[in-house]
Amino acid sequence: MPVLKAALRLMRVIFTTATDISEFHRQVCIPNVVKFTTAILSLADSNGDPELKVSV
Amino acid sequence: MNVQVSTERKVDGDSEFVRAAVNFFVVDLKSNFMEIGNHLKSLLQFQLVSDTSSVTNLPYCLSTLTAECLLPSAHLAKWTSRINSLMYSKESGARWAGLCLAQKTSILSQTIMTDCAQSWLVVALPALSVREYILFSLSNLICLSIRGTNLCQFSKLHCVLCA
Repeated sequence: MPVLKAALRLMRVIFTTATDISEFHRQVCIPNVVKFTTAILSLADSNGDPELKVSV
Repeated sequence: MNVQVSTERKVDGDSEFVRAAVNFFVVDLKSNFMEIGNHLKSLLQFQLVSDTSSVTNLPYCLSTLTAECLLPSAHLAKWTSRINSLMYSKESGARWAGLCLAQKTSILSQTIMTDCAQSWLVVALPALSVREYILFSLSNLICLSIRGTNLCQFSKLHCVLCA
């Protein structure tokens, strides 16, 4: 699942690098982190890949 | 008195030297900026020109991209729009390449990341709920693994394929 992995990596970078810019954090990160976590939790439930489960 | 004059001269000489050095660095910086824009331009013109070539040339693009390349230049807008068009491509391979390029870009340049993050997230979030695989032909795979920096991996892959 290369696309999935690339998407995960990209979002990890987006959510973690700009923590010092509070405006960006409030407007972009917080609304999307909620969607991200719900999506990734359902993914970990349905997916048998242990590597993914560990990273979640 | 003599000593004073000589020190003044020395100061004059020093300031001239400093001026020359500054001029030299300014010229150097300008030529570097030219090169920076040029590298982005050449990547766009040759490596990322089509969806399939973007996928096969991705290792080269990722390894040659530096933070200096992403300083403001005339080609930066083209760069971000190319990443966006790759992400919205119908082919999953091109989408993968777009996501990888976006990740590298956001690591190297925080300003571009904050500008484009919203549009990238719109693509990246739905990708989590879809399970898809990229179909590579054998020649494509070999191309990719040769272009990747790790030759050891290539030999491993080759062994697996030939076994």
